[in-house]
Amino acid sequence: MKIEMTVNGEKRTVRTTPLARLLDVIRDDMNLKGCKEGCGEGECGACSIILNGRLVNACMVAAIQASGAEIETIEGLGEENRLDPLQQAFIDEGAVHCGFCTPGMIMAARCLLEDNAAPSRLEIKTALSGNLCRCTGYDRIVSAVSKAVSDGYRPAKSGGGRKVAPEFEGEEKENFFAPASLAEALDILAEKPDILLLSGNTDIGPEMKEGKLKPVAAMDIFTIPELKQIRRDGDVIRIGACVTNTDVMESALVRECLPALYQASCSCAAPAIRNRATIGGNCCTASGAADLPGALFALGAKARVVSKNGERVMEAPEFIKAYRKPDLQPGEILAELIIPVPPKSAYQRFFKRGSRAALTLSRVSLAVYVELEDGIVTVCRAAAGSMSPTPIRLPKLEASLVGKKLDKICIECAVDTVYNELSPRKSAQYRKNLSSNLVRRFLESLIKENEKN
Amino acid sequence: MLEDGASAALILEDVVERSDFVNKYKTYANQPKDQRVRMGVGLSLCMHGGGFTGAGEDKMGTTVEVDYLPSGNVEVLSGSTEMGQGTDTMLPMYVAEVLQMPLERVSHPLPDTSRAPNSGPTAASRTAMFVGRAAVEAGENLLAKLMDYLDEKNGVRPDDYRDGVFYAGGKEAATLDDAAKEWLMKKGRLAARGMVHPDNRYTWDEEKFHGTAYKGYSWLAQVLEAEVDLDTYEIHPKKATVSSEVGRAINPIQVDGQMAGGVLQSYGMGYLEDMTVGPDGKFSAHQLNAYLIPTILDAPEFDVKVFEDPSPFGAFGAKGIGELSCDGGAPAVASVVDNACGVYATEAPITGEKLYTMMQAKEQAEAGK
Repeated sequence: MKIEMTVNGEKRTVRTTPLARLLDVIRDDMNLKGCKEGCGEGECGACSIILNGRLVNACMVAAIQASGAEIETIEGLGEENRLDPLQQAFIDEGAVHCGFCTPGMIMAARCLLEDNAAPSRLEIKTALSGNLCRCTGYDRIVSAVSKAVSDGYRPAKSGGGRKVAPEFEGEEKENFFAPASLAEALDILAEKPDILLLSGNTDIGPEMKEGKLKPVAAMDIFTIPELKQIRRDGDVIRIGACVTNTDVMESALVRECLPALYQASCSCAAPAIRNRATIGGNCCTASGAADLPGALFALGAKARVVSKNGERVMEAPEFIKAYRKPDLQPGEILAELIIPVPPKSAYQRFFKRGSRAALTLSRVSLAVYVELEDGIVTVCRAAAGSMSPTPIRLPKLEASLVGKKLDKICIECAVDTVYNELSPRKSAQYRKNLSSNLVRRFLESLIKENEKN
Repeated sequence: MLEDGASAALILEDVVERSDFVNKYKTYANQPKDQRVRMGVGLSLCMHGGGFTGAGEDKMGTTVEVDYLPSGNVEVLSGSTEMGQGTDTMLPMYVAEVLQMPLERVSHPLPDTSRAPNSGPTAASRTAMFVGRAAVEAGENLLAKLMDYLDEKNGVRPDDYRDGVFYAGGKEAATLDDAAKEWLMKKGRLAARGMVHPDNRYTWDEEKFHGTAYKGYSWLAQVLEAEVDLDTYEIHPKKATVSSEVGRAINPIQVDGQMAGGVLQSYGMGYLEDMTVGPDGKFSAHQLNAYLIPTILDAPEFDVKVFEDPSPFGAFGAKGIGELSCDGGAPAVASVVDNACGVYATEAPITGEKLYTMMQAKEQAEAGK
């Protein structure tokens, strides 16, 4: 396969294989060794680069997805004898110890400053939350970024790249595809129903690295325009399957109408992963620990799957029918999630208890949606993650609330109900207790908010 | 027995005052019983001996070489490996100080056993204190070599060396660079070695384990302020106030970073980093997605203050600080939880499960009264 990219402002053509990691293409084919491999599974950020204006982990991007891309690596900063002011700030503030995380840290900081000229301390920390450092305690890294900002550092926005189909060679032509439209993708899928669909690659990448997955054929769908939209359509909001967590977070429509989904996206991993991981991928992986499905269940989302021959629409929990087994027939693709626009009186919240503050899977996640009328619960949908092979609705909890006046007694009843409804396999008592605490926290806050309104 | 100054009181008092520990401790101990999101503050004090225990360093034969190259630059050759602790900056600083030349001209190349003498392992908080001492002596021996050369050449041995110039009887004899370049032309390679020698001020009885265990102790006290969420059983570090006494801070900005970095590691040990061995003998956390270290969002804000009480033994008064910073974090986390929730953990890490179990036990004990 031949792909052309613009790397640090220079046109580069590389011959590689479609599923080669962009990390290896950068390090080995282009000899840019500043991009480091720490873990190779999106857990450390040492290979952070800017791809089409977004921070990504180069270990989790397949070469087929980089065709036509604009890439910035640490080598593009500064000149031979004149460091970039951001690099200089890292040195001046003592933010470099062993140096292994430094190129990734600097690229993550630069990416933040391209979009945000005056970030707060928390915004800096959030932007760097996917970049691990074991030496510095991070304090001096935050100081370095702050110093660059106060010194007037304003990097120009990196280019957004353009979609160019790779030049496949030999047998690749039969097995690898980068369609430009949904119709084209469905044609290919009708011919090759077993082909691997590649989107954010944040789950598949690590699986390939571990050798669990050795795909012989794949189709990149990450940039298919029909799958990238978030739009309001009458009483519903339609979110395309290849919409990323970052797209969700940046959508004013989602923030206004679907705060639980916004919260779930924010709590997912870290920026470089949120820039790639998609809502459709999170549903199709069909894992119990996934965060977005819980929020989607509570919001009453439906899944629309399409094929060359038509479409099916089903409730989101029906789509995520079993662990790692979404309800997709041969030739079908998840096209979008369809979410009813909640009435103004609705309350919704997503909670996640991971193991640490970022880059963590949920130990417990909980999403709750409630509509109130005169203090009476009229509608309730709740869902829990990490309790079972797939995220689940909590019908008993929902039933214990609907029709009740929201008061102390009702809350304690709901808390007991959810405690008994859940049956996690590991650390059962702890996680049941934690989940019921979160139900109490949500309902108590709801009483307060309702009184205010 | 501690021969040199013990700085426990100094740093304890400082950290308690700067963090407002006493007031905070009282306030947090009196939070309403039913408050679910609680604050706590925890204090810990630790010390760490620099170098190998007892006579370990005396027997090591730690050797460092200083090479004056034809380019006029100087290399410090040792086996000490840079891994983020600042060796590649610190050893050249020592030698540049002795040779009184700009730091830019001195470097510490990647350790290479074909060139570097044996300076012992990169371990035991020994590089600044002991390897540094050998580096200083190597620099001094290089100067002595050139003084001998000038003596041989001029019939007068220089008796002074200032700012890159040798003086004999108050008169300039030669600059270091001129003397070195002459040497290189006439004699070839210009290098000198330095060693750590046994010091009879310190004795150690290997049989009775008696005497001077370490030739210098560094000290660290810290106050951690953190939030403990009793709905989710999460601990969130907010502010770490650290006071440390390190002998002489050779590279102050690096010392400050080492303190914050090590202290954060030890908070990881305190509540996060759970490395267990399963029944199959395998580590539970064999990948970075299972072995969770603190991210930047887990890190508290740091306020680090470094005190200096130079060690009589270590190079330029330095003491070992490598391990010190990792020593006290876990007890500080345990004390936070105690102050916030009235339960004291006897093992680390205090994971959510453990905090839950401790709180359950406490509730049951209180219900039984």
